[in-house]
Amino acid sequence: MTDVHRRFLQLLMTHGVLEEGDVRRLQKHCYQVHDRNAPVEKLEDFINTINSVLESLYIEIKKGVTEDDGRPIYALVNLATTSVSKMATDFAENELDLFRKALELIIDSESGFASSTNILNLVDQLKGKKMRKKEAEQVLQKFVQNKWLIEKEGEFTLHSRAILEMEQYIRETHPDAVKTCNICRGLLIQGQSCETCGIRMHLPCVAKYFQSTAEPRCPHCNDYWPHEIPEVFDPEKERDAGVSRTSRKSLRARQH
Amino acid sequence: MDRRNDYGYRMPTFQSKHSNGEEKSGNNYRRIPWGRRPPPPRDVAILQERANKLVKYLLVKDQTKIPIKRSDMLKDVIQEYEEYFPEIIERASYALEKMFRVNLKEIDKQNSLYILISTQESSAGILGTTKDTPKLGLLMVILSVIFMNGNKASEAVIWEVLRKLGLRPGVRHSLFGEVRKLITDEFVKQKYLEYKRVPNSRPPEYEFFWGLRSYHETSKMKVLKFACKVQKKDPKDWAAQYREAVEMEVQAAAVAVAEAEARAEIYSPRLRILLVSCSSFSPGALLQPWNLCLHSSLSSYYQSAESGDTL
Repeated sequence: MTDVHRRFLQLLMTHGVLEEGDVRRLQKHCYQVHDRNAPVEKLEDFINTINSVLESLYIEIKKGVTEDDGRPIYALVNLATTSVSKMATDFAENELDLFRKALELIIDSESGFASSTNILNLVDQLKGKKMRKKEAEQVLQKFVQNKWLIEKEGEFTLHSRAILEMEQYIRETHPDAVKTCNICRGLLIQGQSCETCGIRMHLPCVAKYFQSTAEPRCPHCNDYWPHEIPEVFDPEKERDAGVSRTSRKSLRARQH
Repeated sequence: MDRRNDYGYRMPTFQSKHSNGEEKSGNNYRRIPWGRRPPPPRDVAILQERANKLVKYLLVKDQTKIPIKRSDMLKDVIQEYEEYFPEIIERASYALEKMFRVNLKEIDKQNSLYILISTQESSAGILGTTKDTPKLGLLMVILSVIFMNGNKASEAVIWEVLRKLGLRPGVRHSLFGEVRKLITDEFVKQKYLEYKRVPNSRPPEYEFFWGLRSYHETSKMKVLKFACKVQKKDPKDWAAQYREAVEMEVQAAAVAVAEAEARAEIYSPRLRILLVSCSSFSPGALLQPWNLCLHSSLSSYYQSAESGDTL
């Protein structure tokens, strides 16, 4: 492990989670700073080098995929099960409990989204100091800022970072309610489901599975697949568009 | 936890105070009477395991930027191996340096408070801003005002400057929240600033100083350069401040070398050479979330504020 790897690790930690495009840019930057003339190691090997050093700490850089559009992402996660309380220490007990309640609603929901109203209605049941609804709204925004939740039109779902970090914990604590993808067998929060037999698939998994199929059919019961098939994520198209999501987000003014 | 040593003597749990009268000096060379020494861990692997846990604990706890108490480390991680705290924390420091290029620093020896500092120059803004960037930009402005003003600035002066940026006490800002709370409470807790009452002032007046963390995470030279960039001047135009900044750099470098040598004493000669050669000569580097480059977004706030826009 060299200073190139260390700088990369520090920067990844700063951002929490990064898309693959940004990760590659970061890697190049770290080489520029420390070892200009060295050839840039293949990303997978580069990350494996770092992970082998981090092994003794039971943490690793993990690769995942966003549930809505299949973007590859990277985050530093705990290898041991991360319970909610270990997520971060800058949340108070009642704030963590709010997250737990939101998490429950999200897992139990059909769409993978929990409405702001439903979450806020549970504010009276929280452990710890009493929290007003106004306060709870701000706490939810804190979770969004810290990339544990995503908000879309007043509804909340898990950020892909939270899914990466907490998959094991979620499976252990909600063994019955948890949904899984029929294709990749991974934890499923958002996805499409067959209306006949009920199996579910991630949107990017649907995209890949039905990529060149004229008549998409359910892999389980063979009935027509009734939903729109999303496109497979293409990083080339992203690059042509000129700017990745991360920098786009920072250029945009703060929402809400 | 009921532990018995070889003599069947009931050992005190980690919570009880030590009655052997020895002062806890926190270095490796304390002497503990033989009869009261706890049984040594079966092997060094246990100490290393605690050190690894401590590393993760520190990385998470440091996210809040509030200094970490030794007592918390003992309670949450070290537990029954309190006796071996010096060695465990040394191992943790080594791992932090080796894996993350981060220095574990005791900033308050009286109260046993620690912070983590990055020992390499930050990659400022390489991937755009993070959620902390605006606050740290604001902090940079305040630090520069304090430094250029002779290392302290009255609250009145600070607010004069902040008003130019469109920030007012008691008015909630979309990025900073309630600004007065941020600068007099949050930044103070995080040891970025000190907020002290002017002695004998009636009605009470307050003034701001640099906090311990600011001294470690940035340098007077960097702040001077920032202030001069904003004002489009040369650092040498501010002669007194420039001299002071240079002096601080020399001091910081000497401290860094001394610390590296002290740590090297604990390890093998091979490691010693390694440590001294890579010991940071960087006189005060910026910690990772401080994605603030000298062409910072905030200097453009400052300039646009001068021309009458608000944030």
